[in-house]
Amino acid sequence: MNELFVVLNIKEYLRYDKGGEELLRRIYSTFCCTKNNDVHKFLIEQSIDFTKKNQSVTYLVFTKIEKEIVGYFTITIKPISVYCEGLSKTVKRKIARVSKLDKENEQYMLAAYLIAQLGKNFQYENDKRITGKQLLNLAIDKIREIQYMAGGKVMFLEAENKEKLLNFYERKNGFKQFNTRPVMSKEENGHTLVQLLQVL
Amino acid sequence: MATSSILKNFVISDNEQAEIFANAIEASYQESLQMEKDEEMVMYEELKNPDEIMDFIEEWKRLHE
Repeated sequence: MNELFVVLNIKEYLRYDKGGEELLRRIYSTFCCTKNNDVHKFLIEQSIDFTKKNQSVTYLVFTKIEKEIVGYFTITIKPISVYCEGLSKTVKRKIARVSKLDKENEQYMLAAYLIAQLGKNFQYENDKRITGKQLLNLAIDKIREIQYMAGGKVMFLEAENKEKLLNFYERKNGFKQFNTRPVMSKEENGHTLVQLLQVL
Repeated sequence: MATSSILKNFVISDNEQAEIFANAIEASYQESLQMEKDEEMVMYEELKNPDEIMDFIEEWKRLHE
């Protein structure tokens, strides 16, 4: 699969085309992610608003020739804080590799990048035109570019607690589990998310 | 992936969780030092120039509408 892709930051597009929202929605109507409703709904209903409010930035990925949307990813900056009271020296030493100690508040602060969304387009079998690894590598490439300009040493994500997904992130892409988070909201149907990180 | 991730603060206050977190950092840090990484090269271009973006959008309309 050596297809050449085109990546479009929707913030960049909205800057140049004031009526761009309507066109973006037309592009979104060709996107469908049946495997994860949150991934689908976020793009359709929230990606533009979140981008306009600088809560995150969404990047669309197209094939170069046919200009089919094959997937998207959303990135944001999220600090992670770790309270240091009672931690052993070994634990502190490991955490200090990627963070600074805020002595006043007794916590380590890490500048981290969150891969908030990552999803392929399953409409018209466009998912077969890009692998999950290719899409993830595009997101990581973008994070490395931002890291060069703004610092930060860790990227992380929250994945559904499904064996296939965890295998993808852990065994195939080197992410490490570090926590879980129960999700209670009605919109996201109660379930648990697994948090995984990777040092950049 | 969850939309709520974007709105959440990530705080680790429990010692046991902090140890798991530290071990994950250490393991990933050690892997990051290895020179050979299994990273699949992806060929892509990012649209940044306004003319390029608008040309792309016009072409998208022509092909899909």
